[in-house]
Amino acid sequence: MKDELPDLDLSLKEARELDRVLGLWIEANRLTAEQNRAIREAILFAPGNGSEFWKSLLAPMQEALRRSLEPSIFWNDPARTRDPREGRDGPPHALKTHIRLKPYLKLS
Amino acid sequence: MSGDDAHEGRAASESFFDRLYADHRREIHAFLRGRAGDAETALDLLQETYLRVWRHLPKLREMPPQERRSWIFAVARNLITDDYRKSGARNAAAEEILRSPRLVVSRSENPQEKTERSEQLKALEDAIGRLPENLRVPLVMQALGEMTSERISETLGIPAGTVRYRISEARKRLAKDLRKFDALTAPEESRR
Repeated sequence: MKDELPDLDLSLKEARELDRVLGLWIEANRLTAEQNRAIREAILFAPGNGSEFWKSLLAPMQEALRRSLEPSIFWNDPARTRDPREGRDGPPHALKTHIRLKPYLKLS
Repeated sequence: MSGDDAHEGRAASESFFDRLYADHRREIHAFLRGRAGDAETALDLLQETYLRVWRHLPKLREMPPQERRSWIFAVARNLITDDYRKSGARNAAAEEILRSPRLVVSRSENPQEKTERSEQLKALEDAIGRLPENLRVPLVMQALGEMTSERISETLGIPAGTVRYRISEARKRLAKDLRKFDALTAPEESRR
């Protein structure tokens, strides 16, 4: 069965001309390889997509980093250990709760 | 889960996603292009549709293949309906196709040919935008999506004969519009 009805109201010349211009329009509107690639990358690498995968790769490194921070590499840094309430040389044990992981190191 | 397992799982997901994209993108894009009326919105919605595909991959994996297409079309249909609600009815006279970097003309064209080509495309774009949606959608699905009337019929839920009639009617109206365009752009002398 023919898939199209004949263009009874159009002359052959008009039908051909219409097909030609439609061809240009199709060409201008067809998805390009670049657009397909851009869409794919935007989806697959969007924040939140596949985060489980990245978490599973990063988790061991982040844990190691967290552990390395625990003995407090900042402990002797006066700028970080200073407690305003205690003065310049306040006792380090009072400051433990001030040490926090940066937000971007958190997993959740 | 070890890093290797995670990597393999991710690769399998990407491969399945790529297959779904390759199999259906042209039809989905044509459907959205027909409904949305402008190229930019159609691309945005295509991306949004496939973002949902990606987020529901496990569900799609469990479906029989023939149901996957219906599911993806249902998502696209819902998104375009939401978009209509947000933006109101569209009667696109899309200028943007002329701004598109993809409107590349061959180097052999001289400036006058380039201008004529751009004007023809603009006229057609406007004419397609003026078509009522029930004629525009099947026409664009056939032209851009390379879909048969049977396939369009299944997707839109209307008889294939109606699809053929609407495409024919759309072509008739486009030709009428283009005739007007020709008359408007013909040199003064030839119109006298």
